[in-house]
Amino acid sequence: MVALEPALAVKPVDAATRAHWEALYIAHHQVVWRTLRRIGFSPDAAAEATQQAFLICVQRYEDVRPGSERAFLFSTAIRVAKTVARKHRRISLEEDLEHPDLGVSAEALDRRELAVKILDRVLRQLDEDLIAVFTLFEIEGFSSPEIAEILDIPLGTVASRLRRAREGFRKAARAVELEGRGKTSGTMHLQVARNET
Amino acid sequence: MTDPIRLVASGDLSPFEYELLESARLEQPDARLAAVLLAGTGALGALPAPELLEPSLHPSAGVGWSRLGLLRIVAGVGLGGALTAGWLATRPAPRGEELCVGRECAPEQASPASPPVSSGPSAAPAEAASSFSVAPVAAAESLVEERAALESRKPAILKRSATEGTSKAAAMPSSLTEEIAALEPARVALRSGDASLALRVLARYHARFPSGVLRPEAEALSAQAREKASGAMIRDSSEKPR
Repeated sequence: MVALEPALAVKPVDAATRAHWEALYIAHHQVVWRTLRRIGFSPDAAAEATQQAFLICVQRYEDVRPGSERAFLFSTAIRVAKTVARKHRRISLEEDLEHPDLGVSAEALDRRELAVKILDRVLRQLDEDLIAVFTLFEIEGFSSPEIAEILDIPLGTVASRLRRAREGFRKAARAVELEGRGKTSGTMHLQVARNET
Repeated sequence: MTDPIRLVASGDLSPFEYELLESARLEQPDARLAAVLLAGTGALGALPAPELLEPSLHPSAGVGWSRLGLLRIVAGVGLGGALTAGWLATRPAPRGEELCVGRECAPEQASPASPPVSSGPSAAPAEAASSFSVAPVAAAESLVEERAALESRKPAILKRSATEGTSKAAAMPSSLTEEIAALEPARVALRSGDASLALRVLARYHARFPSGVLRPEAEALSAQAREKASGAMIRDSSEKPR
C-alpha cells in the first residue's frame, strides 16, 4: 500500500462552519459509508473515503450553496469513489466477494451480513453507473432530482439508469437465488428463514 | 416527472430480493471506527493542504488516506479532540430526558462525562467538550432553516453569516439536534433489546418530524426494531407450552 504523507498544512475554519459540517457528518456519514460500500469499497476503505469526502467538503464550504450540502457531500463522495485507486477497490472486492461460500459459511455468518454480501455480489453484475443510481434510489431513498444533482446527469438519464439497474438487479438476484437452490446454501437459508417467519 | 415506486414498497419483490435490499439499509460502519472518523473530521483546525485533498490530483489518495494519516490528523489537535468526539458520537441525547421512556435512558445519562473511548491519556479539556456539544446546536438550527428555505423555494441566501442563521434559528420549533435527541432513546432501547420501546419512540419521532433530515436513519432503526420484534414474537410463540 502506498501511503501519502500528508503535510498537515493548517487551514482553520470558523466554529460555525465546523459545527455545521459536524452536524452534517452525524446526520449523513452512515449513508455515505453505505453508498460507498455498495459501489464496491471494503468497510475500511469506505470509512476512509467517507472521511475524505467530508474533509473536501469542509475545505470547499464556500462553494456550497446553502441547502445543497447533502447533494454536494454525496457528489463529492461519488467523485472520491471514482478517483480512488481501482486496484485497492478490486482487492477489497476480491477479498469480500470472490468466493462468498454461501453453503459452508452461511451458518456461521450473521444473517444480515450474509444478505449484504449476497447483495454486493448481485450489484457487482451491474455497471458502476447503474449501481450508484440504484443504491441512492432504492436503498437510501434519494429522489431522482437529488440523484441527478449528485451525479451531475440529466433527470432522464437517472430514469433510464434506474430502469436498467432494476432489470439487472432482479435478473442477477434471481440467478443467485437459483444458484442457492442448487445447494445447501446461505441463499436458501435466507429464503427458508424468511418464509418461516 | 414523478419518481417510480421504490422496489421495496412495490410488493413486486420476492422475499429474497426484499431481504437483500432491506439488509443493506441496516448496515452500519463499526461504531468505534465511526467515532474515530468523526474525531478526524472534527479536527478541522488541522486539515491537510488542499492539494492533498484533491482526488483528481492524487488518484491514489484513497489508498494513501490510511488510518495512519487519519491518526496523524487527530494527533495534530491532540487526543482530547478525539476523545471528545468519540464521546459525542455515542453520548446520550442532550435533550433526551424529555424523550427517554423507562429505564433504558437512565444508565447512560448518569455518566455523560465518561467517554466510551477511554484508552490513552485523558487530555480532553473542558473547553473542547463544550465546543463540541454546543456548537452543533447552532449549526443544526441553521441547517434546518436552510432546508426549510429550500423546500419553500425561497431565494437562497448565499454565504449567510452564522450569527444571522443562529439568531433566526432560535425561533425554529425543530432542529437537527432535536431530531438526534428524539432518535437516541430508540437506539438505546434497541441496544438494550427492547424493540417494542424502540418502535414507540420511533413512532413518536415520525409524528414529530414527518420530513426530518434523519428520516432515513429513523427508517433504518425502525426496520431493525421490527426485525427484533418479530424475532421475539417467534421465540415467544415457540416457547409457549402446547
